[in-house]
Amino acid sequence: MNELLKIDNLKKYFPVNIGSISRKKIVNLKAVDGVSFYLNQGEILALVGESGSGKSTTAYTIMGLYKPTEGKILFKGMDISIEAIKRPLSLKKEIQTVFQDPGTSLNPQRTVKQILELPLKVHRIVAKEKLNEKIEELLGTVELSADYMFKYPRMIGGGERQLVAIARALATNPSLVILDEPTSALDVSIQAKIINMLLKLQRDFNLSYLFITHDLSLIRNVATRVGIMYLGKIYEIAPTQDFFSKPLHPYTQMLLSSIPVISNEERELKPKKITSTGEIPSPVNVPPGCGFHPRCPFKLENCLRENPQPVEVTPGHFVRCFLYKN
Amino acid sequence: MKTLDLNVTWNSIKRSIYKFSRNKISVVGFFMVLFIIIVAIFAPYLAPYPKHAGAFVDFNNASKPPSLTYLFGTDPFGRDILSRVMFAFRGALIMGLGVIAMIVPVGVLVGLIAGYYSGTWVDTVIMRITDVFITLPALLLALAVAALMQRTLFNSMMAVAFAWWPWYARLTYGMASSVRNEVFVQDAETIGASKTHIIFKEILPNCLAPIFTKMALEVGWVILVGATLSFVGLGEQPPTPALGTMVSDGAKYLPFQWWISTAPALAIMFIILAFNLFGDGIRDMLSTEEV
Amino acid sequence: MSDLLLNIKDLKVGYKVYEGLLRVLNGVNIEVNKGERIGIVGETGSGKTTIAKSMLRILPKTARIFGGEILFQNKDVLKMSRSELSVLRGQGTSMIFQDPTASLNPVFTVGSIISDVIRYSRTLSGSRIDSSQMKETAINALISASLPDADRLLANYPFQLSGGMRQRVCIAMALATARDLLIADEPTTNLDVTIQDQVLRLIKELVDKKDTSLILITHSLAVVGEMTDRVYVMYAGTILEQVNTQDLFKNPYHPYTRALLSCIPKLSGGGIASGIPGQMLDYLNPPQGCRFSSRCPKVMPICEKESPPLVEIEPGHKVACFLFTTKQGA
Repeated sequence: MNELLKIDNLKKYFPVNIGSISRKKIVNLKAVDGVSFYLNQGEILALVGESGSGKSTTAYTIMGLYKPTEGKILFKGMDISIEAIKRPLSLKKEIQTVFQDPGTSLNPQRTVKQILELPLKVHRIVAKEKLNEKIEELLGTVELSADYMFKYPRMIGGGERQLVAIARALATNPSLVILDEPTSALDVSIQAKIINMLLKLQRDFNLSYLFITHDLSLIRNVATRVGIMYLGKIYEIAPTQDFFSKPLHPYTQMLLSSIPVISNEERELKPKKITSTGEIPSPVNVPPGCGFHPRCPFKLENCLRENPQPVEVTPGHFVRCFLYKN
Repeated sequence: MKTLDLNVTWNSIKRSIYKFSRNKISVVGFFMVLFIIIVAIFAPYLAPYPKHAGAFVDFNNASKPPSLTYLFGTDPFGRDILSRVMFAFRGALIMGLGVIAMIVPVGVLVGLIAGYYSGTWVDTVIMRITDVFITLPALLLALAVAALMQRTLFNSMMAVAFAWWPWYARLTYGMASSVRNEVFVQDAETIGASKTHIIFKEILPNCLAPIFTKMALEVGWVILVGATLSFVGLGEQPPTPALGTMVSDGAKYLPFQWWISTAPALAIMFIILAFNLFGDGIRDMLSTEEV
Repeated sequence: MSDLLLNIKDLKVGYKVYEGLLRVLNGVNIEVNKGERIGIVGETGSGKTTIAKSMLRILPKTARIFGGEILFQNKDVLKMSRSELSVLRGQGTSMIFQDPTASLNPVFTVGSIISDVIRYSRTLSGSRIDSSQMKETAINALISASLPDADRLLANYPFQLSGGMRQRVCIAMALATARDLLIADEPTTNLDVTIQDQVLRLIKELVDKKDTSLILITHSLAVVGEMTDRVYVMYAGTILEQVNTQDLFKNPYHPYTRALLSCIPKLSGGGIASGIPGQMLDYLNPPQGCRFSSRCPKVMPICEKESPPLVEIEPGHKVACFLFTTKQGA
């Protein structure tokens, strides 16, 4: 196994004041609360969750925007659990990101050319004379014409902006690309175009993707492995096929049963016994024991007190739930 | 390739002009400002009696009311007030534009740095120093500084600049500290861009709109402060005409020889109005509203 | 008295911009009967929000109405006076918007926001309501929207609530006052999927109970499939297909509808189609013919010259496409 990325018991807590200014009460917002997984070269691992699940924070900590509170991030065997500012330039070259909202991930005051130039210049990918040529080449890989070079982000559509963001991420020839909800803000037909582009690029350049999203139907068609996050922990992780044919965790089943679908075929696949109830609690106030127990229709005595550890139910299929054993 | 680049730029310019001119009154402001600039530059050629702006006396024609020969009348020294007002525009513009030119780079730089380091001790130190300057009343500060120094135009500009710069720091800080947390800045960081690049190429361009608007709107008010300083005798010394000095000199002759103070006072009003209207247009032009 | 509640006829709306006139809605026809639930499905820029805003005449200043009528209970909304419009907006219809945070005034408590709305609506209908009754009505409205702890909720400010709860407050307000029609413009797009499910079920339940008509505007065909009886598929300001919801998925005719369906990622896997080639229409220079022609995989020469009429090719199923109709009819 060519392990590219390994996350070991990662935690990221943010101290917040939930009292008033005069009577402070600082608690920890446990955004990421003990996350472990690995990503092999050439894989697409999806981290799925709703708001407050910690999926984006996990990605941002891997990127280096946050310093881990605890735990380790290993990239190609090296410990990189430090902030981006302290990371060597050569590492930044290897891990790139495509963010969600193409409205703000591209600087509105810079042209496409300037946006694409930045990574090329910082990492000295090509000589100065060859910059324009390389930018045209990058635009070509995402099927955008050279015309786009002098346009400002506000002059091009959301899908195209996302293509520019993808081209920018690929400029340094990274091994790992982190995609944080790359198509959530886009129409379904544009999403289709972007996803197919991402899959093609992944094949052509043997990239590895860490794909953050809330859209389960999407990753059914995209990811090699899927992990579900809730309140800062991974509650289930498995290869895609297994994940969808046999969803084990009650939260996974709740999620799947909530998705609106269009065909009867899909309706058959949705778990019937469980419908969504309750609110998503805030990571400031994580319930004791298993974080999901307040909403779980199958809860046992133990769930209120103890935190379930991951068990491997079938090879590669892990779940945190007292309903299951090894 | 070059034509594409120029094309896009030309389109942006056309769009900006359209946004500016949607409000007709701003267009009037633009022409008023243009008028002021032309008069200031070409005063020696446009003024009916250019020599009256220097050391000149003609007691035969002293304190004459406005007439066809002397459109704004003459002052107690027999000098044509219109010509003197036109020459006074020079000092006024130098004061307004000069002060702005001095304080903007300083204030913006300070604000950018504080904004980039927002949340850290750098931010706190810089902004508290700025706050100290802001709490001192600008006019009093300017008066005090000007009184301590030699009475020249340049020194009075320095005095005003000393009091005025922190506002730009604060404005820029407000913008920079929020832009600093935008996704594209984080992205530049993950790419590995240097701090200099991020501050000047990513953050600064997104702060410019309110800065330029403030600059355009404020020229008039800086000129007013300058006139206030010369009203109390600081700033440019006679015989160089200065609007404030002219108003104060004419004050003793009110209300009977009303034209001696009134003309320069109206000129001050005109200048402030011009820049205010122009500034409104600049604000519209730079707004990110979809048109 | 016919069952027809809302009848939009040949609506043509556009916007004035720097470069000229954007001709968005190109003669839209929509009918809503009493108690019906219809969906308007379209992507960004298709004009669906323009229709919603036209219905209540809350279009921005740059909007221009070129033609058509919006008949609400046989009165043309576009010609209504201010007072008639107030009645329409306060009593006849209600609208829920996409962003619940933007819909609730952050400086007022939930209680005062709801009371305001209820009081205004009662004033319009001429009945008075005193403060004790008001509180009860507000609480009932919240309870009917499945909001827990309604009493405490009245004292909360919007920022203290989650997105899902805010949207439910908006729904409670809308349904407390709407008699006849509820317009929901992307009501769940910003919500998490488990909350979305709850909110949609709530809307369905309340709309059924009060026999209110529903116009659900969304870009999600799946949502429309679960919530509506009839669907209008929109593209570039035109209705391309109009059909009963089940038939839409069983038997889509229009090439755009088919392309759209193929782009939706399915829970059963199987990959996603590669999208629709080309780009969204330039509203400044709309083509003479069919507005989808430049992107249509089955385009014919006539499509670029003539605009296909919306024709009924099967009972209850209308399509605007020359593949299925000639200029005159089926």
